Amino acid sequence: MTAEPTIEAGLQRPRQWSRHAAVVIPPLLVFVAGIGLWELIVEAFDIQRFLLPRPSEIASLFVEDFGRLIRQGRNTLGVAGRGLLLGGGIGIGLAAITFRTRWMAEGIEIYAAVLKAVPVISLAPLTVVWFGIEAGSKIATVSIATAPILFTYTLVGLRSADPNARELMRSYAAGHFRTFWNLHLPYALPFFFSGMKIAVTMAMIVAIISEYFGGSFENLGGYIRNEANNVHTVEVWTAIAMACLLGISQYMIVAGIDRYVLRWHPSKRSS
Amino acid sequence: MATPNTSSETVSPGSQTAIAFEGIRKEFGNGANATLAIESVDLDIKEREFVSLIGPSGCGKSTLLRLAAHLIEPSGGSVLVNGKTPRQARLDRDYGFIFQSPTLFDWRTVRKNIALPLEIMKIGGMSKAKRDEEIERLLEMVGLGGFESHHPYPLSGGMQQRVSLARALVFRPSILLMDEPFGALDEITRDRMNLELHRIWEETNTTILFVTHSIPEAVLLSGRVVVMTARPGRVQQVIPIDLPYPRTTEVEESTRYYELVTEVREALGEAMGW
Repeated sequence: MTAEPTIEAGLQRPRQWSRHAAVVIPPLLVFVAGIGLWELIVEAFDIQRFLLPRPSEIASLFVEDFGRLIRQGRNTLGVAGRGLLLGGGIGIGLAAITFRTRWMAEGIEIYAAVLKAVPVISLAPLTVVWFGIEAGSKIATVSIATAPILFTYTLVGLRSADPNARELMRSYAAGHFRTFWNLHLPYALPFFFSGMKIAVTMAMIVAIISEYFGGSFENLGGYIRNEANNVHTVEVWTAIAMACLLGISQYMIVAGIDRYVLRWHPSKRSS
Repeated sequence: MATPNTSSETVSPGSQTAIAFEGIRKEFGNGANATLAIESVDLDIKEREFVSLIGPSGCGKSTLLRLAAHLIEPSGGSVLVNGKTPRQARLDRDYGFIFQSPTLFDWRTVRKNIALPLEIMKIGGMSKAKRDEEIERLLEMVGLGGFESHHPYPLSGGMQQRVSLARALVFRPSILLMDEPFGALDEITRDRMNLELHRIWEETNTTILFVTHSIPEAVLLSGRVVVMTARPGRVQQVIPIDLPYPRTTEVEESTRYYELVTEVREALGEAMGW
């Protein structure tokens, strides 16, 4: 009995760099064009600096203040990260505990849905009352925002395991832990990563907005609040640029891990 | 797995009963919505027998298989597997179940897919080198030597089902329960898989209970073919297949083979009320 030769061994790959270029170049062109247009508009209509500064001015201040922006960014990132860790821990933990027990999971699912619909940031003043004006309250708000996201995604993922595969594990008389580890967890991973891509962005947004509500100035939100009060528009823009940079890098790191860990998954296989 | 058969004459069922269905009844659903899937099925399968269950869709042949595997419980009657309750047989890992879909784990290589039951059952006394050797032996047996480091997804359906077969054989269960294992394969691959399965059955001395839709397949593989009626499922007729072993392409072209195919087809026709 010889093997049917369907392995795609000799598959011709299109040249990698040209494929990457096709992905990277168009958005880059749009970016450069947009910045150019912005610069031109400010020039042409003589827009006042405090309303809309030139991108070139923002860029040069960004470079000048880079050290401080990074320090502030790190503090914001710390809050977002710890909040995500806590919220993710709660969300994923609850999903892992309840996914086998339908009524329990559904009981929580409803509140997770409600919490996702509620503008969580409106709770920020309350968390200040509970946890104080510094990092604690901001971490709490980030947790409240991210826990339901990761709960829902992980729950759906854990439940997505192939019924035949579940019966296969049953036929092996596999215990709960081994079934979870060998079957449900791998099935949950693609959903977990989809949830993470949303949650990291959400964590950053909620962290910065929480920082608007008071506390230290040594973070992006606090800095923006302070500089905006003084109509230091260029400074505000540099902090926004840093926030964007951090948000995008976080997303890309998660997407990269996702791509690597799930290289076996149908959505990630190179043709 | 006992000692392999050397001569074609020795393929005969043992005296022990491997699977015994007695007065089996199975209902699905409750109350007014309940449907009777199986009614009073009595069937004994001897050790080292190859028995096929054949019948129209909804005749409960897969249900019988799943009852033996303790994936579901009967509504009435009893099942004994190796003289034990199906639950105990499952806990003792007495049988391997093969689904119509290969049910492989894409995140594991072929080797690790086959090793899965060993990992889960924590079968001791086997070093990793020994285990790998055993897996390679099985891969050779199912005709997939050299594929152990591949992931399953680029493999064809037939190759994937071979991996699934190797995975079922690796922990040496005395019984194989096969639920239309080749039903999704093309005719040519299916023919070859059938002959291969038959050879493996002869080599390993396992008992096989095999669910199929295909009359030629059932006749070619089995010692006995069990023809079932639909809704509720009952045993219509048990047809002994007195074809010589080993079953080869020559057997497949013999007159006796065609006679038996006709006999099973007529029994099926009766089962369906034609």
